[in-house]
Amino acid sequence: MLEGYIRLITRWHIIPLLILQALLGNRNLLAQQINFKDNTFFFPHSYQSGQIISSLGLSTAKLPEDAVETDDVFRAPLFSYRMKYGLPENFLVEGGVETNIVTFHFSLGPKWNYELGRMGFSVGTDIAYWFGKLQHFGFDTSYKGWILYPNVSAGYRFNKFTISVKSELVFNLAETSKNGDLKVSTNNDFFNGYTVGVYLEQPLWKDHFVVIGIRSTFLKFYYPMWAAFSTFDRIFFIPEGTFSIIL
Amino acid sequence: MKKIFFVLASVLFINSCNNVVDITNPVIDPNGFLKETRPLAQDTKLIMEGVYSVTEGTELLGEQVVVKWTKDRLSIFSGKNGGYIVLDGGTLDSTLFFLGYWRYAFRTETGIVNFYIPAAEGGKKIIQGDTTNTVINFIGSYGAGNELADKKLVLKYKRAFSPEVKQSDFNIMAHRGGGRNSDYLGVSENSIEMINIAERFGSTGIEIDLRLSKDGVPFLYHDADINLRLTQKSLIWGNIEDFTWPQIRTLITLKNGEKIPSLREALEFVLERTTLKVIWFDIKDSDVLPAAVEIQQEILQRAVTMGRDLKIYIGIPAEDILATFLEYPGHQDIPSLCELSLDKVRQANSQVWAPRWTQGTQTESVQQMHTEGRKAFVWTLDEPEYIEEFINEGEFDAILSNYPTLVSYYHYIN
Repeated sequence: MLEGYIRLITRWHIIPLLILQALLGNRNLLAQQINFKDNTFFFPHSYQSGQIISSLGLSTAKLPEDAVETDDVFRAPLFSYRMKYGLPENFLVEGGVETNIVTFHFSLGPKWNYELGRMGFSVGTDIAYWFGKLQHFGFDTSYKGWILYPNVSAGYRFNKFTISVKSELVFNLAETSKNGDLKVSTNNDFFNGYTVGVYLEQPLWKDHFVVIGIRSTFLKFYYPMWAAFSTFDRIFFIPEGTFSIIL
Repeated sequence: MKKIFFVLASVLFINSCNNVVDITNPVIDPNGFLKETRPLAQDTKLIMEGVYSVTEGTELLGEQVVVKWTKDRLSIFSGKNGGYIVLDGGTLDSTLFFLGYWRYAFRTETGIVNFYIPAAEGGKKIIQGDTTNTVINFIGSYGAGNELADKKLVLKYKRAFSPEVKQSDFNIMAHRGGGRNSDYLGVSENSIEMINIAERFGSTGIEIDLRLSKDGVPFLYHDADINLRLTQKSLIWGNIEDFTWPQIRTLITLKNGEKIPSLREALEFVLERTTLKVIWFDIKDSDVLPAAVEIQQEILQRAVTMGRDLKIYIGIPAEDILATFLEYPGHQDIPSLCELSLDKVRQANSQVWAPRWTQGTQTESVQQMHTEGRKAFVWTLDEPEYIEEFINEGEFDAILSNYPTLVSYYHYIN
């Protein structure tokens, strides 16, 4: 039963259902009742100093066939928890953790948001430390690294939902792997690629918002795939689907 | 409506992207120049082998390269981006001429290369078979794709291979018969055409994937199903082992247009048309084991008759295949390669222990195997830094890799 459920959510079958639910859900809510300021996460808006908004998410990716060597390219999801903390003068700090059990990714970075009518803009930089460890299936392996994500966002607030676009550049600062008795610092290119994501945020009921996102990543090294030890020196397109709830 | 529009637009945007790789494989010798040259005598080829300095063209190959004759080509291996050159050549008067292509193993760049060795810079002495010759200069140029080879490339003889390397029986094993589809080598993995070019990458052995057709014919194929990663669109789909050999043979075409080879065809090709020394059967399903053993024994017998140095190992990658192998009559005498624990290697009396590379050099275990008269191979190692570490620090008898060119480079510069 559990295995069947995991197999279901590791494929894309669940994503159309979630999209349908979000599109059709809560149709009778009045626009003036919706509090976007306190309940949207990706939409760039000004925060009150000390204000906290957090989200809990699940994402899955379609990995490149060339790198994973199979046409069954959907992989176990990444769970994520993200939090934004408001600072004075439209600044905020965003932090988060993502995991697929064998990999953890911690990020932290400042952002500056600006609102202009129904539109919102954001610019910032995140720095992330990630590590993975695998001691089964013939692996005695660990991997760790630092990644820098300069990013910009723009969003538009409609009456009943928001649409935001977020783009990041991805720079590998350092990588080290260990296999058994051997430890190696890998010299991957500093510029790893970029991402572009589109996020729809809307209330599911009352002030409880959900986020549906689709992100295109164009990367040479996709950190959740570290155990594949891919050596291809070319940028892969890896689409991700995300579903989050705002806490 | 707006929401639907944005979701559909996003999905369309995502679908507009893909990972198609476009490689322009250069056309070599379009005017047939090499047909006007004479082939180089076999015994003089060894004179050219060794480690060379790159005096011009370091941006392509780095500071030094390995020059090695393989079955029918002169191959040059570098440590930069897994770069390598494959050349065909001949002599005209007292000059040696070579035409071929360069390629980065990890990337998609490739292009034309041409070289000549002038009579006064080693050409004449090589043709004369002078083994004391230490002045050899490859003078040439390279280009990108089919563009004119207008960038200078000059190699200068530095030294011969070390005595340790010359005496070593270390094997460089190529994955999937020579390389994977994902490396875009122009031929398909697990095909006769791939086996034919495997030695040009420095391989001395190959690993091939075996499955069994519905009517009992073992053949080379990796995945369980018929899919577009390995094959062109075909009239049949599903589990490939549900089809008979005539159906597989006639209805399926591999990615680059080849037919799926039977195990017998592949082994006969290796035996008669290559100098490969080791074949590793990756048994994908225990059902294929009896038929694979039968053909293995027959080909090994023919190799003995021909005086051919060829080893063929039945791979035991999993517990279920070990169980089937142990039930096979006389399994103790069947050359096999076990990927499981040392105890299971002994239980199967495998000649080779083959752990995954991600457990490190495991030198103590490798030494135990050597003490027992067994060999140790490691798989499937592609990371350049680790290849160097395994060759310098490890004691394995072979490395299985998707990049035999890089294993060759680090092995021969040792």
